[in-house]
Amino acid sequence: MGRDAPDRLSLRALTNRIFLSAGLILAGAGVAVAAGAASVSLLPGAVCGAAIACGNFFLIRKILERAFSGGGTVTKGFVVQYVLKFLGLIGVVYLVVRYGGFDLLGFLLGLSSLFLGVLLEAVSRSFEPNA
Amino acid sequence: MFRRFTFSFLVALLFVAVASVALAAEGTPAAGGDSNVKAVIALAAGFGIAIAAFGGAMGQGKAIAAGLEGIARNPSAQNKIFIPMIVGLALIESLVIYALVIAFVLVGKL
Repeated sequence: MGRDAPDRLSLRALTNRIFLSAGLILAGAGVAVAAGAASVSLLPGAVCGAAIACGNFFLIRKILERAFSGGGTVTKGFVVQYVLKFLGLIGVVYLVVRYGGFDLLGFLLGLSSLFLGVLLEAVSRSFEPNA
Repeated sequence: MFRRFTFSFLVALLFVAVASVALAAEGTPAAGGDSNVKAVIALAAGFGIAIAAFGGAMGQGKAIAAGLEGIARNPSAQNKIFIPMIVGLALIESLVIYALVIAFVLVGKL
């Protein structure tokens, strides 16, 4: 798609911030479990939610990058890939909620890592000198 | 058109809210109480995911339409439009997934 270096770096930075926020949430959940403020089942739920959030963002990025790589034209199969990804996501969430046995609060906390990552990226950009 | 649709949607929502309260209130507690609670749970799950899907679809549609329009008007700005569009789509989808999780939890209580 002919990306220039700053945008590629920006997308990479955003991805890194999302991973960092997932790590922060997991660390917070670990501290809460270690302090006895939460049950042990919070941690695997948070891990599962964070993995689903990061995987979902990664797949959205890949599908849209591939779709817009045609230089002004949207490539074929974009809609099919996006719908298949969404159906897969629904299936995974159903399996996790129904049969996973994870703590739902931890699961929702892990899913929120995307929001925290975007917030971290926005805050870090606001401190840049040319922002 | 959109205002009329919004008004109709809100009226339908109000109707369902009132009906669900009435459904929960009527009947004897010993015999029909459990089924009434289940009916309200089913209504809550269905309408919760329906509203979330409606809002998410509207948001994603508007985001993609605006992004594509911006790229079509100014193809050189594709890189600057692309990243916020990805982030917006991911955030909207996450909100719908939240509602989906809650709906699954509610359905599990039936």
